[in-house]
Order: sequence, then structure tokens, then C-alpha cells
Amino acid sequence: MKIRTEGTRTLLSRWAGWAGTNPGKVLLITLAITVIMLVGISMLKMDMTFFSIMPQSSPQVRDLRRIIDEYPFASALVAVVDGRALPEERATETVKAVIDEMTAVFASEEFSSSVQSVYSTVDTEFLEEYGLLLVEPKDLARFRTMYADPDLVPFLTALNDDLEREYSGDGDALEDDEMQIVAWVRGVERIMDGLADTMEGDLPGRDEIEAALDDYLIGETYFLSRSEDMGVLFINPTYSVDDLARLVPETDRIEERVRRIAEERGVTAGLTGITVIARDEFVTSEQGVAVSMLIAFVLILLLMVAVFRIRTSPIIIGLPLLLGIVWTIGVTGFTIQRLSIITAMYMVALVGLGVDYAVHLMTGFVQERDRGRNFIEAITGSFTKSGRGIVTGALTTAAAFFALLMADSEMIRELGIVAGIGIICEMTVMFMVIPALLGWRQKRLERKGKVDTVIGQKAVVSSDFVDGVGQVIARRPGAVALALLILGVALGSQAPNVTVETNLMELQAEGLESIELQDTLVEEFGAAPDTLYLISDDRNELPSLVDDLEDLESVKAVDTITHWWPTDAQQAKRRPYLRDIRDGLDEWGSGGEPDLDLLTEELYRLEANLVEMGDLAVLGGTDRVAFALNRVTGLDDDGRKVATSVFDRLFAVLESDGADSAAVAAYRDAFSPRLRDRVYRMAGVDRVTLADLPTMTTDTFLPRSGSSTLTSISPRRNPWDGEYRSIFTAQVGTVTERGTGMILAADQLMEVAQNDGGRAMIAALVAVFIILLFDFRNLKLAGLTFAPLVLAFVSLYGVMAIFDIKFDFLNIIAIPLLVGIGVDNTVHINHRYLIEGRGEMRTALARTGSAVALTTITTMIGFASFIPSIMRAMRSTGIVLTVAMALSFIYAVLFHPAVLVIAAERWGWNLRPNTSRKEHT
Amino acid sequence: MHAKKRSISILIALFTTFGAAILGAQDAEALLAEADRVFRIDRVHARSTLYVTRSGREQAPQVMEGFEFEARDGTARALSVFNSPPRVAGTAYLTVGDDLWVRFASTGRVRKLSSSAKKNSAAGSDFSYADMGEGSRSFSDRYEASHDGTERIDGAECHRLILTPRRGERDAYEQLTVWITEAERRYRRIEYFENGAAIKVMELEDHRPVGDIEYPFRITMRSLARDSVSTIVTDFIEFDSPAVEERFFSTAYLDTIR
Repeated sequence: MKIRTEGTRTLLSRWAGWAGTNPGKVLLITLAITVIMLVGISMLKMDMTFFSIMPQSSPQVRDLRRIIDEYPFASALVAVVDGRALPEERATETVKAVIDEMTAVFASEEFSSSVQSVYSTVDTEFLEEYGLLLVEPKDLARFRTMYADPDLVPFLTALNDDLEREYSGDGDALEDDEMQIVAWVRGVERIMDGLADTMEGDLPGRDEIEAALDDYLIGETYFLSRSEDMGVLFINPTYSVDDLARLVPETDRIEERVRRIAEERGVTAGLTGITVIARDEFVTSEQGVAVSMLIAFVLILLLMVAVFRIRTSPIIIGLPLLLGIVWTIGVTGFTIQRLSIITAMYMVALVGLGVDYAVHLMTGFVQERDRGRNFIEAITGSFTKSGRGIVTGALTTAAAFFALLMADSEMIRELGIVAGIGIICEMTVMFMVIPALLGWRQKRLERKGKVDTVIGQKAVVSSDFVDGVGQVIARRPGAVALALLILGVALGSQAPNVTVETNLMELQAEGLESIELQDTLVEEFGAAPDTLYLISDDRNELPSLVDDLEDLESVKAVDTITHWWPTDAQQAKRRPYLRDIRDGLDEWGSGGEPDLDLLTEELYRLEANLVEMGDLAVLGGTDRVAFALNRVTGLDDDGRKVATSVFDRLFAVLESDGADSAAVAAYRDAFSPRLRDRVYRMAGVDRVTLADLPTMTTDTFLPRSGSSTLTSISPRRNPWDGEYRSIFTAQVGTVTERGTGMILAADQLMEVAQNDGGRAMIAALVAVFIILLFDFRNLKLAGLTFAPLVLAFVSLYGVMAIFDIKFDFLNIIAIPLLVGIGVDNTVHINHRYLIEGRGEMRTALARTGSAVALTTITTMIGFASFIPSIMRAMRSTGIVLTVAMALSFIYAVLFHPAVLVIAAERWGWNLRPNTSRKEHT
Repeated sequence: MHAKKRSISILIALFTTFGAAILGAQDAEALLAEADRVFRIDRVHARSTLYVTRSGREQAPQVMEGFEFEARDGTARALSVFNSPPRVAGTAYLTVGDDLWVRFASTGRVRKLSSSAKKNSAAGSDFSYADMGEGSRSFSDRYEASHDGTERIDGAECHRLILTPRRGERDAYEQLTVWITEAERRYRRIEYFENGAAIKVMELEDHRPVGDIEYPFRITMRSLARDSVSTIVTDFIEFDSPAVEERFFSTAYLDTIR
């Protein structure tokens, strides 16, 4: 069964001999090619964000790109100012002061190149002019009654009537409008305070009354957290996530200033938002790849020095390894012109894969030298014995990688191209440069008159362990095969329990502030920054769409342009109410002596209404509303009277002999006209046009050009939570199919990865099988070669399930690579077994086992170098691929040889190539 | 001849398909009717505690005493009086058919709740007023059932039924999926659907015999759309209780609660 390979002068061996004797010429050719590749590298763009690998042709991703490109606010940097460490009484004011300072700084000339606009408060001027035109007719009907007579006592009566109208009893409503209710309660308290102060002899000034009316009519203008000790401002950058040259330095500059301003005032602050997360992905991916690359290189070269005992190994192996990567990146630059996070990661894996060819060549060289061959005989002998196996292995691996071109998604096709090119580049460089560098070394040794240190080392020629393994397999192949089969089946039985990571944020780097701040926004502000978006070209469709969306249980809020710029139909419906309000106020005239008894009665009613609201707030757990209502009523959470409230002060005066209707009239004369004027102004009936809108509104909802509008649908929970996200997207899907956003794009990414991962796996298996058939020209052997691969995959999924390692978009894509990589070991064992012949499995393993073990270790180092990465997606991929390689090795060197022995020597299967059967029978 | 044979085959296939479906539906309805025993209780007097956890924060437990009664005209009536937390001790909710009232202990005032409030959150919990009780109107009265397979929950084999509202049924959920234990024929889990997705799921546990009914002493409602979970633990329950008086179920009685 021996095949005539040894001793044959192949093309490769002739090349090795020439390169070994002409190292200068070879290195010159290599240099010339490398220079060309450097041109390719200069054409390359680093695209290291998750967004860049999303399926760009999917409608969701296309819409998302359109949103990022066209709507300024979508790229806004969200600065979160945290004053929670401050005493409660100082927190809110300090946070507001920090926000004001940041607003001034980022709107200044200093940041004009990187910041387009800054928004930190609601545009009150617009609300003061058009506020009531933005209100739904049913509420305008209430307001028409409530503001029919702004005289103090009638106003209080109307307010109480409104509070006591048929009541929805909905605890959730209190929670959803928490901030506005808190501001409204504060407004009521300040109005009552003004009255109490006046009755106690201190009429408040105009500003105090206006401030009370601001709270009561407009509400909070800053974007504060529920507990009002945190706030946010929005910084619109002049660059987007695609502007990679500016993304990192400009975001860093803004972030540094945000931190400094906060620190100077004793609070903390950080940035989040899609742009900041993209910056962090870019930086952590680059760092992750760089660190992994360094780790892989250092460990592998140290291993090479230790194994081959050649001090120049870092040069003889390291240089071609590095050149292989340079060439790969160069060809990538010429072809696809970018490196994504996935293809960049592959470059690290390539360190572990490329070195395998060097290991086989060096092992052969050392073995030949060890047998006493001279340099040229050793180098040509090595190429003769290992060359074909290396070419088959490389072509198999490359073919498996190129098979990824069958995938639908660009990211996997790119990976296929880069991975395939990488293998071929590494193999080519190794074949070119290693004999040349060994020749160069030999000449140096000869010049110095030294003896080659590898002679007599027996470093990798054989090993007692591998020999022992070979002996056991040769003696008891059935037991070994059965034991491993049982292991595979046992692990495989757990495989169905592997789960999929649906939270993209769980794949980001650990401890990233931008990610943690997203959770903070959900917890403290009740607002998730990752919303769903809806692009609409028809503003008139929005009101009914928004109503339907707001009815969904999973939707917290819907923000749309028609909340600020009602449609003509909406404005027309509302205008009659506004006219009525204005007409009523036109006719209003303050005067007469206030009825103190009626005032007292209304104040009791108002207090009762506020106490009842407090009861519901306590029951519903809406702490902030409960706190505000308790303060105004002087109660604690248990309903005990713990403080003197403004009502206590009022009742004390009103029920005393000193109650003075003149004081009430004085307050009324100061308060009521102002209330009347404010409401009158807010009830403007002029048509709101685009030109009237605040810039924050236009930046948020309207594109830089064109007539479309953007609506954002805020989820009630963190949408990255997979279970919740499916509810949120399903419910939104019942209203509109046009929803888009990062969360849906991430789903698409996972979906594509799952579909394409499966498809790529099948394509890789088919490609590898065809190559194996060509190589071995034996269907049975090709089939047997697949068995350890199948067992390795099944076992890998079992191990993943047992240790709760989830599939994610990165590792699911990387797994098909294992088809090409994992089959290499069995290919080398097959070749050697065919060379050594029947009954010589022990020798075959002794001759290949060490090299196979070494190449597996180097590949594992390449993959394992991702494990220290801070980016969790890289880490999980590193773990999965390392485990996969270990399993693949175990089945290749234990199970596969045992099966070969059983098939060829017990069952008498003919495993020789079909064309050579006649020759050798 | 061939055509005739084919027709017969098709008929047999149709019969087996639809026949099985009809049988499945009948089985499902029967199962549902059996599990609905738990609704067919009257003059209920219970003391229970409601635990609500929102966004990981536990709220003060709400201890309440409840009375249920079905009037001669079939109208379901329920009165729940809070004993704790102190802030709402004495506060009471009264349900008469579709009408709801609340009496605040803090002010002594009675307020009518809008009819749309029945699907709103009750007392800040994940239960709606409707979930808290529809009187004897059981699921089989309001929904049509179809069998959807079996599933094990905590070791108990359960039938899984899909319930869809009967024609003309108002304020029903879009769909319910209910799990009924195969052995005892009692509800184990109920999933509530609105607008194309499951929005909350109720677990019924710690079944204990009360009269001839196996009653769940622990009912947990977990919201899938909100980060919250509410659990009602029944401390005491009695059916056909002499403690339940018809006069409890009026707004006039609410005024007398102290």
C-alpha cells in the first residue's frame, strides 16, 4: 500500500532546493511583492463597528443608515450628568448648572468644528405661544372649562372639578407621566405658597408667580431623571458613525470636556448614544485585535523556539508569518477595501493557522537533518514529504473558506474571501521564504564554521507520548473508537440545549460606560435610548398611527413631529376650542370680594384630591410623584401627618379671626391676570408652520433635506432584553411594518448569521468533501475523514450547552471555519498512514502526531488569544474556537486512527486511491 | 372507477382531518369547563397579601380582605378592603358588574372609576381589575378553546389550550394560552396576549382543597412588557361564607367602612 512519494523530486522540492541555495533572490522577490501589498494596505479602511457588519441590503439596516445620514438627532451624543452623590437638596440645581455650562461650552466657537448644536431644555417660548394647539381636543374641552374664569376661587373650583371627573384609576398613567405630574404638583404648591405668603402678609413678586405658572402650565424644561438628581443634554456632532477619521478623536475631545466640567462641580458625567457606542466598538475592537495579535505572535514564536531549538526561529517562522498577514491585508485592500471586526479578528486566527505550514516544513527539515541528511537534502526532503499534505490541507481549508461566498450576507462573504486569501498567502509565503531563510541561516553557520544545532536534537521527530498513543490505538482500535464515540454521543445529547445570545449589548466590551449609561437611562429616566424608528413621507398618517402605537402595552411613549407640528386637520379640530378659551378670557374681568368660605372649601377639596393622588402613588410605587404629593400635603408614605403643609398654613389663617379677604384679593389680582395672559397666549389660533418650530424639534424629527419625518417609539423596558424585544417588535409590527432601529438591525444580524452560518457550514462541508475525494480518490476514506469532524462539532455544541456558552453572531459565523481547519489533522494522518502502509499506524502517528499536535496548539493559541479580549463577542468566539480545536484534535488523533485501523486492517476496506489500486495489488 | 376511489380517499382524509379537529375542540372545551370549576364559587371571603416588585424593587406588601358575591341577576360583585400598608388601610374597591368605585380611607371619599379602568393596573400591580375577578364568568363563557398539545410544567403534565374570544365578547384578551394539569384538571399557567404578543403570564401554584375545589393559594402575575411581577398569596379563603353579606356591595356601604 506504500505510495511512491518519498524520494520523488517534486516541483515543490525543486523550488525548495533552489530557494535554499539562492536566499537573496527569493527575499528580493518577496520584498517586491510585499511593497505591492503595502499599496493594497493603503487602500484599506478599518470598519470596526457592529453596525458596519449588519446586512446592508435589509430594509431595516437601509432605513437605519438613512436615519443616521439624514436625521441629525439620531447621531446625538447623550451626555448624562449624575448628581446622585450630592446631598438631595443640592443635586437638582447642581445638575442643571452643569448642564447649562456644558450647553454654553459645546455651543461655543471652541467646539464649532465638532458640534453642530446642543439641546438641554425644552423650547418654552414655542410652548408659551402654541402650547394649547398641541393638546388633544378632549383635553382642550377640559381646559375650556378649567380656564373659563381664572379668578382665584373659580379657578380652584374648576381645578377640583377636573381632578374629580370620572377617574381612570390607572396606576400606570401616574408612572408614565411622572415627571410632568411632579412639575404640576410643584406648580400647584407654589401657587398655594404664594396665596399663603400673601395671607401671612408677604405678597410674592411677579417672578415668583411666573415661575409657579411655568411649573403649572409648562412643566419641567430640563431632561431630568425621575429623582431629579440626574440630567441629560444632547450634543449633535458634525460627524456620523461612518466618519471614522473623526469618530474617535472628536468624541474623545467632547467626552474629555464633559468629564472635566462635571468634575469641577463635584458630579460625574459620561457619554452614550449610537455614535459613542460606535466609537467604543471601534476602539475596543482595535485594541482587542491588536492585543490578541501580539499575544498570539509572542506565544507561537516562543513555542517554535522551544520546539525546534533554533534561536533564529522567530525570524525563520515569524517573518513569513508576518509577511503572510501583510499580503493578506494587502490583497484585501485591493479586493474588498475594508477590514470589518470579523475579518480583522480572522487576521489573528491566521497567525495560528499560517504557522502550521511552517511547523510541517520545519518538522520535516529537522527530521531529515536528524537522519544525517545535508542541508539541501533535508530541505528538499521536507518539501517532498510535507509539501503535498500542506497543499491539500491549505486548499481544503481555503476551499472551505471560499465556500462562504455562498452566503447571502456581505459580512460572511467578506470573511470567506479574506480567510481563503489568507490561507493561500500564508502557504505561498511559507513555501517561498522558509527555504530561503533556512538557506541564509545555513550559509551563516557555514561561514562561521558552526555545526547545525538541530542535528541530533530529536525535538519533534518522535515523542514517547505520541508513540504510546499509537501503540494503544494499534492494539485496541475498537475500544478507543467506542470510548470516543460514547463521549461524542454523550456530549452531543446536550447539544440541543445551546441557546442564542439575543442581547447585542452583552457582546460588547465589559464595563463600557456608554453601555452602562444605557441601563442608567432605562432605570433612572425610564427611557431606553434604543428606540424603534418610523420614517414617514406623509405627516397626515401619523396621528392615527401614533394613537395605535401608544395603545401598545410594550410601548412607553411615541415621539413624533405632529406632537409639535400638528397636521392641518388636527389644527383645524383644535382651533374652535382655542377660540372658545380665548373668547372666554376676553370676556373675563377680575373683581369683587373673594368668598373666603368657598375658598376654604375648595382648598379642602384640593387637599383631599392631592392626598388621594398620593395614596395611589404610594400604592403604585411611583415614588417621585408620591414624594411631591406628600410634600404638598405634609404626609409621609404611611399617611401620617409629619410636616406643616401649605394647606395647614392656609387653613390656619382662613379659620382664624384674622382671615382677610383683602389679602386674598391682592393675591388674586397678582395671580389671576397672569394666569389669564399665559393661557390666552398659549391658546394662539395662528397656524403653526415649519418655520415656527424649535430647532431641536426639526433636528429630531425632520431630515436635513426632503419632506419625510421621523417618529421614535420608545420601549417600556431595555429593548436589548431578547424576551422583551420580541414582544415589543411583535406589537409594533401589528401597527406598522416600517419600524426600524438598531435593535431590529441587530436581530437581522443574528438572523443572517444563523441562516448564513448554517448555509456556510453546508457549503464548506461540500467543498471539503470534493477536495478530499480529489486528494484521496477514495470515497470511503473521504467519508471516514469526515467522521471526526462531525463528532467534534456535535461535542462542541454539547460543551457549549453544558457551560452555557451561547451562540452569537460572531462565533456562529466562525464555526464553519472549523470545517476547513479541523479536517487538516485527519488529512495529514491519512497521508502518512497511506505512506507508511497497513499495520503501521503506530509509525504514522509517531511521524505525524507531534506535528499535528503542534499545529493544533498553534491554532489554539491563535484562537485563544481572543479570550483575554475585553470585547465579550471576541472572548466567546475565542473560547468556542479553542474548545473546537481541542475536540477536533482529540477525535483526529485518537478516534480517526482507530477507525482507519478497524476499516483497513480489520474489515479489509481498501483506502488506497482508486487509480493506484491496480498498481499496488 | 379511479376517480371514485380518489373521491373516497379524499373524503376519508377530510373526515379524519376535520373529524380530529372537531374532537380536539370538544376535548378542549371539556377540559376548559372542568378547569373552570375554580370560577364557580360564590360568597367568597378571603384574606390575602399582594406583593409587587417593580424594576427589582419590592413595594410594601398590600394586605387585603375580599368578599365576592353573585347577585340573583348574575351580576358579579366584589369588595376588596386594604388592611395594609398603613397609607391605604381602610381603602376599598367595589366592583358591581362593569362598574368600579374606590373609597379612599385617607379622605373618606368615594370615587367612581371609568368603565375603561377594568383593564388598567389594579393598585399598581400587574393584575388588572378584570384579572382580579370577573365573578362567575369563566373562561369557557368568554373564550373558545382549541387543544395545542401537552407540556410539562414543574414535573406536572399539562394540556395546553389556546383560547380566543367568543363572538361579540367585549374587553376580552386577544388570546389566552392556558395550561391545565392533566391529572387534576386545574389551571397551572395562563398567558395573556394583546396586539400580537404575550404581555403577561400568570402562574397558579400551591393548590389546596377548599370545599370540593382545589384553590391556588399563590397566584403570580409576571408582566412581560414591564419589569414587574405581582404575587397574591391567599392567607385564608372560604366559599359560601356567612361573612359575605349582600349589603357590602353598595356605595352606601363603602361610606361606612372605617
